[in-house]
Amino acid sequence: MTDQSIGVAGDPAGHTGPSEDERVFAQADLVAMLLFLVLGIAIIVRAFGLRVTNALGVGPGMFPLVSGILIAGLGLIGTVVRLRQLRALAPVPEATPAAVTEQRAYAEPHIEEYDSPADIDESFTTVNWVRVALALVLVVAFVVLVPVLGFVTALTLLTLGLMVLVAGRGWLPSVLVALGTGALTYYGFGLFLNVQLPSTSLIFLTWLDT
Amino acid sequence: MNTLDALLNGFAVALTPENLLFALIGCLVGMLVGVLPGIGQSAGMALLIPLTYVLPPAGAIIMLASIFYGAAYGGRITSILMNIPGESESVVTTFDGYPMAKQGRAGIALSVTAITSFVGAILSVLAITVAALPLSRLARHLGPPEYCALMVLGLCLVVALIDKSLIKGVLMIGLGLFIAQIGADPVQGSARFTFGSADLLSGIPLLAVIMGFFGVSDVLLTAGRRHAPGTMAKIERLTPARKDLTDSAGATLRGTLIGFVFGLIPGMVAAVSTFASYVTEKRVGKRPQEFGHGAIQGVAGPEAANKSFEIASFVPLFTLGIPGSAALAILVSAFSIQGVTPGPSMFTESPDLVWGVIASMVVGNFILLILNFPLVRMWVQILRVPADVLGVVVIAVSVVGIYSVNNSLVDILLLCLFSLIAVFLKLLQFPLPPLVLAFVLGERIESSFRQTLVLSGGDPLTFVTRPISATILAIAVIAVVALKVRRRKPVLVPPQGVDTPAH
Repeated sequence: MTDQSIGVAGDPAGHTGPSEDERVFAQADLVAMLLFLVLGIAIIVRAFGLRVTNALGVGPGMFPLVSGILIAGLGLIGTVVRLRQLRALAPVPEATPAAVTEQRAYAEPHIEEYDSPADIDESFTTVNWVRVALALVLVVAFVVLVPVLGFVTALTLLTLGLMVLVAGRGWLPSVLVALGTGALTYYGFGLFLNVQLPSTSLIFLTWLDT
Repeated sequence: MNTLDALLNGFAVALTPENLLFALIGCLVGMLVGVLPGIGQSAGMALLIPLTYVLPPAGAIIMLASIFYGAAYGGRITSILMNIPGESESVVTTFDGYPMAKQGRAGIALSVTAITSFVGAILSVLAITVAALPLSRLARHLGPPEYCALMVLGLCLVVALIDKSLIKGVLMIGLGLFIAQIGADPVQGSARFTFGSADLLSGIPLLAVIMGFFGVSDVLLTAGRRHAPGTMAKIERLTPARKDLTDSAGATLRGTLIGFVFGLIPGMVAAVSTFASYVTEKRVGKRPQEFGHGAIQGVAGPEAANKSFEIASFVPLFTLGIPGSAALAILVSAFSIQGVTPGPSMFTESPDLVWGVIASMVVGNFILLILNFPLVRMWVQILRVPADVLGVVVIAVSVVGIYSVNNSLVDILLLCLFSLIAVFLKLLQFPLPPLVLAFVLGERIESSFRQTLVLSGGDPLTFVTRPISATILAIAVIAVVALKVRRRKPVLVPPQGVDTPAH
């Protein structure tokens, strides 16, 4: 892991701070650690509600307690380590050689424990969040529409929506892929595997029910 | 029944026309998921889980097992032709495979690796045949504390060997254990973390976890992106020269041995065996300077190790009931669907099934050799399928597949939730294999943990006072300390210019 990849502030080439990706990564990581801390505490609280011990010696709350302590403990450690690293990532107003050396000396012990955004292909700034949200909304809409349209029709529409809105493909290939997926579901899952696919509540679509 | 009779009986099961067909389907799907970007071995197996409901037990397991080892054959094609490793264990194959392709020897690299993979697999099946029965007898002497310790060892090794932060790895174990606790408590049946929902009482479905954390989240991460067509080397001559085969013979045998030994360890990561094989070849090779520039031993050894590892990783599953990877965890789920509990009792309770699957590994690898030697050009054509269209199909098929397991629309909403969580976890470099393994092992770890405490009158020290469980736990601690704490650099660091796959 190089100094540049972890975004240590200041270098002789005039690089005075971490990149946008690194800063977003570090902040999001801190939020994640805090969420783990909260989740761990919630599990511990609930574990006591489930009874940690009983007549057999071990109650249903014992194992949740162990995993809650694990999650909360590591969430706390992660939060502390990440907070110290965020301090180390802060930009140096005037990157004098002495300041750079001092900051690197401070940052070194806190940086190796963590991965940096340079390790993966995708980052918070490269992911197309609109399309991610669209894809998830379409799947949720599918779940809502299944009782009305029936499984096969709803799935065909879901595939069409994903092709057009998420993959950004034209109408013709999208319709072909959607019809292909619908046919695969109808014949493969509905007829061959005999999966009970929900039927439609609309009379004119009942011919699609398996 | 002695081992030879049992194996012959296994061949009688594996060679029935219907099981041959299931092996062929599994090999084709395995090759497909290995070749195509965005669908891993685990996702490919998970997608076919619904099929296992209507198949006979042997056919279902043979098909899923064929996907498991077929994917490795597919993964090497992209490693050699495009410098893109499909899975972490294929990273090593790019080191010399891609340089060979650039020298016009892509066909030789593909055919030699097909042959070495085949040899590695067959030798490992022979070794399994000899070792499995004695090991299963040994495993029957283990009690709940030893089982619990073994599963903890498996999880510790996965965390220690993965190229990610220790804190994040252990956090993922905690999260996986927590998700496994949602539903009815395995001993008394009390509802835990169900928020009053009857749908959650039966627990979180494995398929929603696998497809959410591996399949669909990968599609979401690259949503809307059209991958620029990468450069792909041309395949010219396929038949290797005698020198190619003699040069790779030693590497194949060493790789097979390394892969087999590593594969026997529950929780071991396949990439470790391929890296170990590569390093060994470089060390024993007469011309180490050629490594990284197209040395045939650099692809032959690791590919043999990879196949050998995968076959050997069935040993902990069959003898101890412990899956070493997310993909094998899916196989456990398939066994459960068929009413079979993986573990030492399989050899006495379901001999036809277990020996049938072992025999099918020989049959499956013959099929894969044919699919990979004369038919390799066909697979190269499949690489031209657009990744974004494939992604849409993956989401649609996941939705149908998940619904078909429990006929529950709530499971599809869980898929959405896990996919979203996985997107953030992947962006934040949390390793997901420990989460899935902890989820799969969670209920069994809890049961053995609670049985141990009940048997010992609530004394947790029993884990460290019983010699076998103490030894296993000591190995787990030493592994984590040696691999993670003392050595702060990541263990599996690929050379510069090679992207590490997401999982």
